[in-house]
Amino acid sequence: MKNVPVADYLVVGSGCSGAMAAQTLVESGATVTMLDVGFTNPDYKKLVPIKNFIDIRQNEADQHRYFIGDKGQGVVWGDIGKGAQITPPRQHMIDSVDKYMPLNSSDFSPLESLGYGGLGIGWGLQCWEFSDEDIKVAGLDSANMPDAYETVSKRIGISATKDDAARYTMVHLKNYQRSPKMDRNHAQIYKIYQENREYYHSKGFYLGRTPLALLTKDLGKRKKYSYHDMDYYTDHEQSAWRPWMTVDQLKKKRNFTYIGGHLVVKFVEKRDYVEVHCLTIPNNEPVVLRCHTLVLGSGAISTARIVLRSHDKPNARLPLLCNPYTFIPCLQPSMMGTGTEDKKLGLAQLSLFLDESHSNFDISVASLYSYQSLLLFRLIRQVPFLNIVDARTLLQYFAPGMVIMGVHHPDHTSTSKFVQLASATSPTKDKLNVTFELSDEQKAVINERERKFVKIAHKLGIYPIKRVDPGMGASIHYAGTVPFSEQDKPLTLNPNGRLHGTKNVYIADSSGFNYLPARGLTFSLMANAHITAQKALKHD
Amino acid sequence: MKDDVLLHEARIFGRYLLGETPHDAACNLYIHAITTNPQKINAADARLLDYVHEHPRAIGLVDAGLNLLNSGSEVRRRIHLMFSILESTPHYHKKFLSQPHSFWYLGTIAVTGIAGLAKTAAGVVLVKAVAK
Repeated sequence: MKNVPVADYLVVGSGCSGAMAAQTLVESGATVTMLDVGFTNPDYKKLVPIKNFIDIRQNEADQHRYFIGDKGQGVVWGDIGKGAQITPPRQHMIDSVDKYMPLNSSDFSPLESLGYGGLGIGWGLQCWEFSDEDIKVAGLDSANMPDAYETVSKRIGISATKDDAARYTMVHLKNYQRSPKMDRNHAQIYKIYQENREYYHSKGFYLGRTPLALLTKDLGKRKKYSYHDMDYYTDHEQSAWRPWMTVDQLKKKRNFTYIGGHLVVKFVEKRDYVEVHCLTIPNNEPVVLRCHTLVLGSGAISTARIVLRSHDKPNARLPLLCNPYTFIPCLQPSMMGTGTEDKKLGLAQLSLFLDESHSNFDISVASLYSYQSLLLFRLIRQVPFLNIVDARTLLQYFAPGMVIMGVHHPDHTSTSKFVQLASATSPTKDKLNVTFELSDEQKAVINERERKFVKIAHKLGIYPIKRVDPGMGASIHYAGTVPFSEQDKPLTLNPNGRLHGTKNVYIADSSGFNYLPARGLTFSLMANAHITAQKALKHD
Repeated sequence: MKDDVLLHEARIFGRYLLGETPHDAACNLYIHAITTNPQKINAADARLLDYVHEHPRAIGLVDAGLNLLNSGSEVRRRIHLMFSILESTPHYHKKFLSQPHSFWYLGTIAVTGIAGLAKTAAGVVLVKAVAK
C-alpha cells in the first residue's frame, strides 16, 4: 500500500460542491488536490452535432447513437423511477454506482454518481436561493450566504428575472443575466397568470421565471444559449454550467492537481495530517494519500459512507433528508396540434410556489417543463389501454401540449429517515442500508398540497392527467447526513463545516443541512461549499 | 435467437409501426440491441412471439391486449425498442415528429381512440387465448 503526501488541501468529489470548494481554495493560493473517480464518456462530445433538435431529427443519420444509445441502453423498460431523463451521452454519470456504492432499501432509491462532475452532469440548472428562514433552520451561515450566492453566480453565470416569484427564487442575488426566451407553452401559462395575479396570490400561489445556470450573454469562452433544445444530450458551447467546466479550468492552475480513478473509502486523522484511504478504480487496489486538510464534497449520501467508515462506530445511524417528489403530466389544449417548435429550451422555465401562510418558509414548489426533445418513446409506454400505433397518433397530436409539472416538497429530519452501513461483498466490503419513511402527517400535507397544485393548474390552462409517484429518492435532492450542531457531538459538523472530533476534516456538501427546503438545493450547496472552503482556509 | 429470425421480427414490427418495410439499417440496430441485451422470455411471451411471427397482421391486437393484461411483457418491450429505433431514424421523422393540424383533426383523434379501445377489447381475448 502506497502512502503518498499530496497536498495542503484534498477535496473529494468533482460535483457541484467539490468544484466550488476547490475553486475557492485554489483562488486563495493554497495547494489543492481533487480526488475523484471521474468516469467520462468523451465519445459523445464529438458525436452530437451543434444543430437544433428538429434539424437533427430530420437529417442526422447517427442520431440513434445519442438518442437511444448504440445498444438501445437509453430505452428504459420497467417502472419509472429515478433518472428517467438520463440520456446515453450522460449515462457515465451513473456508471458502476451499484458496484462501488451498493445501497439496500425497500423504500428509497437515490441517484448517485461517480462521474466527472458528479450529479451536476445531469443537473436541471435551477438556481433558487433559500429564504432567510430556510438558511437559518438549515443551520447555514446566515451572515455569509448572500455574498456566497453572489460569488457562485459570478462564477457559473445565472439567468433570472425579478418578477412576482423573486422573493422565492432570488432573495439576495444582484448579479445575473436576463432569463432566456420562454417557449410558447410557458409563454401562454405566464400570460394567463399575469392576467389574474391577485387571484393566484389569494390562493397562496406565485409564478415566476426559474433562475437557471444558463447563459443568455457570453461569459468568457462560454457562449450564450442558442435554443437548440439539445440540453439533455450535450454541453456544446458550454452555455449551461456543469461542474466539469470549473474543474477543467482549475486543472490549468499550477496549485491544483486532479487525481481521477480513486474512490475515497475513509480517512484517519493523525497528529499532523489526515490519511485518506482510497481504492483505485478499476483495479480496487488500496492507496493511502496524505493531506493537511480534508474537504469532503462527494454528496450527502457518499459522504455519509466515508464518515461512518472513519468513525469508531461504523454501524451508527445517520439521518437523511430528501425532498418528496411527484410529477404530474398535464395537457395544455391550446397548444395541442400546433406541431414542433424549432427554437426552444428543454429546461424548466417557470416555477410555481405554494405559500399559503405567506411566510416564505416550508413552501412547496412546482417546476414546469414542456416536452419535445426527450422523444415520444419515453412517453408512449405510459399511454394506457391503446396499442402503440394508435397511441403514437394521439401523442403526435397531444405532445406539443404536454407540460410536466414536477412538484417538490420540503423535508425535515425524523427518526424514520436514516442510513446505516452494513457488511457486504463489495469492493469497499460494505453497503448502505437506507430507511426512509414519511410520517402519515407529512403524507397528508403532501397530498393536500398536490391537490391544490392540480386545482390551480386548471386555472392556468393546463389539465393534469395523473399524479405519478416515482418513489422516494427520485428528487435527487439529498442532505442532512452529518448535520450542523452547536454542540460538540460525534457525527455532526460545527458551524464552520468542520466535523466534530476532528481538527482538519471539513464537509462542503449538503450533509450539514438540518432542513431541506423544497426549492432545489444545488445553488445553496455551492454557496455553502464556498463558505466552508473559506473557513477551512481561515482555520489554518 | 438466430439473426434471420430477429430480422423477420424487426421487419414485421417495423411494418406494424410504419406501414412499410423498414430499412435494413434499422433492422440491424434492432438485432444488435436484442442480442447485446438479451432478456429472459417466459412461456406465455414465447407463445405470443411465435404467434405474431406467424400472424403479423395480429400484432396490433396482441400489443393492445398486452397493454391491459401485461404491460411489461417482453413482446411489448421489443415493439417499444423497434419504435425507439425508428423514431431516431431521420428517414421516418414525419411519422414521429408532431405536425400542425387543424381543429377538425380532433375528429381523427377521437376515432383513433375509440377504434383503439375496440382493438384492446379484441386483443385481450386474443392474448388470453394464445398465451394460455
